[in-house]
Amino acid sequence: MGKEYKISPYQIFSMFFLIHIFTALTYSPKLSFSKGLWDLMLSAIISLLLSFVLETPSYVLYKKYQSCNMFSGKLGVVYMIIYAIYFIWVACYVFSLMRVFIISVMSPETPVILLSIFAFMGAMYSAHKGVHAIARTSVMIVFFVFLSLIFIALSLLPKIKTENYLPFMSSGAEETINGVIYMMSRNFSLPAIAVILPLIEGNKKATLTIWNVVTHFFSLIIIFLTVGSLGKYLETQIFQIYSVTRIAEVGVFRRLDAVYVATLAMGSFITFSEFCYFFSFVCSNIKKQTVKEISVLLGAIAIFVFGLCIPQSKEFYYFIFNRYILLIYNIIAAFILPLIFLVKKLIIENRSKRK
Amino acid sequence: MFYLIKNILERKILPGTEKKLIKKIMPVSGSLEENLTYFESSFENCIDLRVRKFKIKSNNAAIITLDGMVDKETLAISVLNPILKSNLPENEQILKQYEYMKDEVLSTSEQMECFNYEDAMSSLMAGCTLFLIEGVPRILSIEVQGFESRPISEPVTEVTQKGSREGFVEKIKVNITLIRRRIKNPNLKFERMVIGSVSKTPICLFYLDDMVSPKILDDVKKRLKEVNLKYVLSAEYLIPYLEEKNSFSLFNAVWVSERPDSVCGKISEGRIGILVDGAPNAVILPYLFAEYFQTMDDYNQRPYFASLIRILKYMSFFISMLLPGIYVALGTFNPEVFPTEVINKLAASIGDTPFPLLFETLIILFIYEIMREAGLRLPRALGHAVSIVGALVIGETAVTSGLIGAPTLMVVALTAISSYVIPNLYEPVALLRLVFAVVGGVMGVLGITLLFTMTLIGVCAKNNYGVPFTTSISPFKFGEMRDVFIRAGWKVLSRNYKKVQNTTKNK
Repeated sequence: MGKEYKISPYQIFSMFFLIHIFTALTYSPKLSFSKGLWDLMLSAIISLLLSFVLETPSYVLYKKYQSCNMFSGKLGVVYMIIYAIYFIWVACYVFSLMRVFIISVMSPETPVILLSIFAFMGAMYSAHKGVHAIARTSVMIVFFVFLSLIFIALSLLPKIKTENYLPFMSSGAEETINGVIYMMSRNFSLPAIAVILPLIEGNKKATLTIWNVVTHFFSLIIIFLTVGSLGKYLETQIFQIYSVTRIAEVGVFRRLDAVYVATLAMGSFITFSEFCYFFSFVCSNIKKQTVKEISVLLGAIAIFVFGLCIPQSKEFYYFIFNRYILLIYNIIAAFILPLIFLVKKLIIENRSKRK
Repeated sequence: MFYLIKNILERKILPGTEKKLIKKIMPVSGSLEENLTYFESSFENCIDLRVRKFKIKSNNAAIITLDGMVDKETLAISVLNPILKSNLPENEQILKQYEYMKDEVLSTSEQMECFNYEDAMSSLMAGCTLFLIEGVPRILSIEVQGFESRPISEPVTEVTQKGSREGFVEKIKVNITLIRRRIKNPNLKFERMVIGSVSKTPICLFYLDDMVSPKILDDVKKRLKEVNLKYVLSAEYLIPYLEEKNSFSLFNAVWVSERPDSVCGKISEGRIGILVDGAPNAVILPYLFAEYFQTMDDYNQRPYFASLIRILKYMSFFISMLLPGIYVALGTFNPEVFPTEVINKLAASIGDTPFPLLFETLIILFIYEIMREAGLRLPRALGHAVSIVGALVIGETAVTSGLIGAPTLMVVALTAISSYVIPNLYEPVALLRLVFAVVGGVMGVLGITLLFTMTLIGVCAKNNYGVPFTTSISPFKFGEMRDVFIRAGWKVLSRNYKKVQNTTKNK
């Protein structure tokens, strides 16, 4: 993990695209505090603009100081702790959500514990293999994900009913605002960008812009198809996109939920692996070898234990993954910390110039 | 603890072993008797050592050969006859007479003077004839090898429809010729090395000097020097030493081929080849995942058909690896995804057999592997019998007796046939197929997907000599796509693109 690899723009696009697809495919009215999904179209557009804003400090920081390291010095230790906790938290979230999904909608015979252990071991293996392995795999997975999403989209087109599309904000702006909070709190790529950006080579601005636009565009398509094909029926569903795929059919292929499950499993597994890697990447900045090894081990245990325990209690689940806490932490990790570091760097530079 | 043991070993064991390893190089004696005694004592109890003593004028001389390693006719015509019938200059010193014989009497094309026993011994082992004269502290090694060997024949494991019928043989020199005949360019270099502390196997490193990456070449040489094997009996022995360290991958990033034309194709792309004496194949490195799906026939056919075949190969790879696993997973956990008619048939089949779907599939997979292994090792005539027993007795009877379901048998049969479309990938695919079947039966579609992603990560993580194993696909190289999922026409293929091994960036 010590060796640094450069990631190409399309690889980073694929990595973050999968994170976004994971969140987009698990849109749930329970989590978004909205009845349907239609107003989330507006939320997606607003969150696209907000994403650009949140990315700006990281982008400017690494544009101006290409080889700077946020995790050096005394302040770096604080940064390290904040980001390490964030990545453990998000890894737990992905792990827990997958467990909730399996328990809620999949066959009751599915051995959840066994699957969880298998997924955890796999994610640790992926994180151990390094960012180049995850990045290369992401490119291939994105190809499969694209194909399956197109397949699902085509199968849903005949099922769309125009009467399902209501005017935007028909019940006020509350759902749109909730949607924005929901989307921004689950935009886990933004803090990851702040950490991983130095590893990207090539045109960072174009990469981030394309990624942002394409992923939000995908969200719009998903919402459009889901609302069009299910309408009011969506309000009673836990995982709405999954429910849509259950009614999808193309020719002899019926019930495309297996395709959805495969897509989601691949996306979530890579997302989980990515956050385990990001965590170990942050820990790799620890100078003492023993402390570094112990922190990686402790982090892995924390992800496994919390990931398994959190979904056991609904109250605890909603408390620990509260959208406001997630949103605030997201803003701190993605925007405020890089901004503070940038300001500090600029002040030091100005002082040295004056001298 | 580890460091403690390491230090003790370094301090106490290494000095002793070093002494053993450093052999004294003994110079050749001027006494013929002493020299002959050295060889006779070294080859004590060896019936193949032949010593022929004779006189040249008044001087004692001898030739030493290993029985069966030399061409006796050439030896008689080109060595013994000229020496015995030569008009040596009278009253000259023995050394001058030796020089005269070496330069003007012997009619062999290749000779080498050995000044120490070690060199002489290596030459003798390689089939050379040693010529010794009383009073000359040198041994002349004359190349008159002529051992029996298999003639050039069609490769068995890499059959082609339209390509060359020539395959590598066991003789390294013949193999070098097979390559040189195809690339008539002085930039094609052959470097000789000896590997195996006991077997002293000659190997040959070959590459195109203007195409190869110097960094990779140095790395390969370094790794070959680090080979600590006592015996090297086939090319495959070297593979673990040539691959990435601590690589536990199921897939080889080093390729072994029996076909000189395929090997020359890779050499022309800047790869490095290794020939091992006694092995009817060549090692090529670095090797990429996409190259598993390329065969010589692809380049001998029209690009449209070759592209179709290429796509079929990729599909066969996925079928042979995933189909039993997906079948078991869907049949066990998600039968609802099948159309109603298929579910009915499946349900009837599963209901009629006494075993669970996973167990049933594993039984057939194991029976198939056993039959395949038996068919490979048996003589051809018996191999047919095994096929008949397998197909008719086990297959037909097992289904009619209701022990195994027909759909399961069909799935495994389709898988088996698909795996032969990419024979180079048989070993990893056979292993993965079993694992996927078990995971599918225990964890369903989710388990299959997770394992598939993990397999992808394992493959994508693999690097060899700084070249990602999955390069062209990921890291994606559009220019290289002309020969990955499709096979473009020769006009497009002949365009120069950057060679993967010369752009070794860890992306």
